[in-house]
Amino acid sequence: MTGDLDTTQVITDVLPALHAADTADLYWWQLTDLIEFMDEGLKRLAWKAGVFVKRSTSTVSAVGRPTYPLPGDHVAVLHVSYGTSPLRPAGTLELEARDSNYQSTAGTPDHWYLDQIGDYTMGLAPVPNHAGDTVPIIYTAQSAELDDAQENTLVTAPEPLKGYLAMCILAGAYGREGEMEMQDLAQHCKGRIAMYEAMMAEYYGMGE
Amino acid sequence: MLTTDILDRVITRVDDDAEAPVSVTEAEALAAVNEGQDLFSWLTLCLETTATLTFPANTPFGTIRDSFPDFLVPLRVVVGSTRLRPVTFGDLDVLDDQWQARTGVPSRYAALGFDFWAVYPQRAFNLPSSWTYAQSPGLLTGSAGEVPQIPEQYHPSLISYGIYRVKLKEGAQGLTRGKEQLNLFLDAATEHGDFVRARSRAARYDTLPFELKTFDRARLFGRTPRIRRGMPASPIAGTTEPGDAAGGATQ
Repeated sequence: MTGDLDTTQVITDVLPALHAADTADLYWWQLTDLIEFMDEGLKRLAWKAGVFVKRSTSTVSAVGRPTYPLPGDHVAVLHVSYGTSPLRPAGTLELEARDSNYQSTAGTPDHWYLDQIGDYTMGLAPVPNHAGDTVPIIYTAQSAELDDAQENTLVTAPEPLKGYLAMCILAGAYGREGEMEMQDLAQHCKGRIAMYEAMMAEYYGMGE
Repeated sequence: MLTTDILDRVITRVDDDAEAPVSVTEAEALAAVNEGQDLFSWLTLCLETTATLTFPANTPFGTIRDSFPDFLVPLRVVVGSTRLRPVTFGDLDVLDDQWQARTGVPSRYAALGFDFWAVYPQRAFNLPSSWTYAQSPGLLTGSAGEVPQIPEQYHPSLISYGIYRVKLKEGAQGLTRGKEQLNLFLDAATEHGDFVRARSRAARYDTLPFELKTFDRARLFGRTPRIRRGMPASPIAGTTEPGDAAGGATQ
């Protein structure tokens, strides 16, 4: 898609730094290692800087149902609505103080909560008394997985992120125990990664 | 400075023959210079452009990158002659609890992550908006007559970054020498970032360049390089003293 970054280009560009002319020439690492280093870097970035933001409208209310699964690629919830009305975030402590039966009291939801109901689950209070209402969720997401088979090689991100991914590969490759281990180089690359992440957290916001 | 000149200088300064390089290929040097220009423009937000993004009818949300593939961060958004103010979802919730359905003349916008926008209020018809944004530079190919997009006075910093990047793989002493060049590059980015920040404040832009001074360079060099008192950062002279950048790796 237009605006996507092609990670195969990152690999091509980083090969000389791994003493290889092409991917078949990689001696101490496999191509899948490089893909996995990038994938792990993107997952860390999604957590640190919240750069992949999405809106899901797939959650629909059901009568008497207090909890709903979050999208599978969810990292953090930014905003929840009931139809077009915004819901307020709350903790179970606060909800319990207002209504000890908050998990069964029916009504039109005005709060959402995440705690004490397990991962990847969101609760609504009061519990919906109407079925079929959309519950749009805006959230920071993981980027699409970079798989070893290279069925997905694209990331919706600006081109300069290639430098970050290159540092993820070098930090992973030279930090791994083995003949080509170079901890000074790996540590330096980790510092570079930290610099990229600090910059992106400042520009794009609300990670961790 | 031409891209080809920059590449020649990178290759020559890593003690190689620019006509027939052995230890570094031209493609490797070109990738290094591209990475340097990308990083410089991201750190300083020095490249900006203005283009049109159409807010679709009856839609308060959308994506950016399909309209602006080179988008980095928003600087200024205008609809007609009205400037939209940046806003958070929390602000919008307080401002109007039906903000996602409200129609009217847009007055606020939000840009989140690499690719997401929201606008309030929305229009019932497609509405073009003018976005001034920091852009990423085009890919350098090394073709004849090509010039990097960042300001010319900082082209030497691309040589510094290129040297650093091709020395990186050597580790140990080679890496130490490369770090000295990275330090020069970061001095130049800090200097120009300060300039762009002042300019952006004057223009009341919505995003300011990253405060590179707040990042602890000791994470890159092992210890913070000494800064010469009273010496302005210079992309040519740099601000480090000999051996500063080397300290960390050998401690």
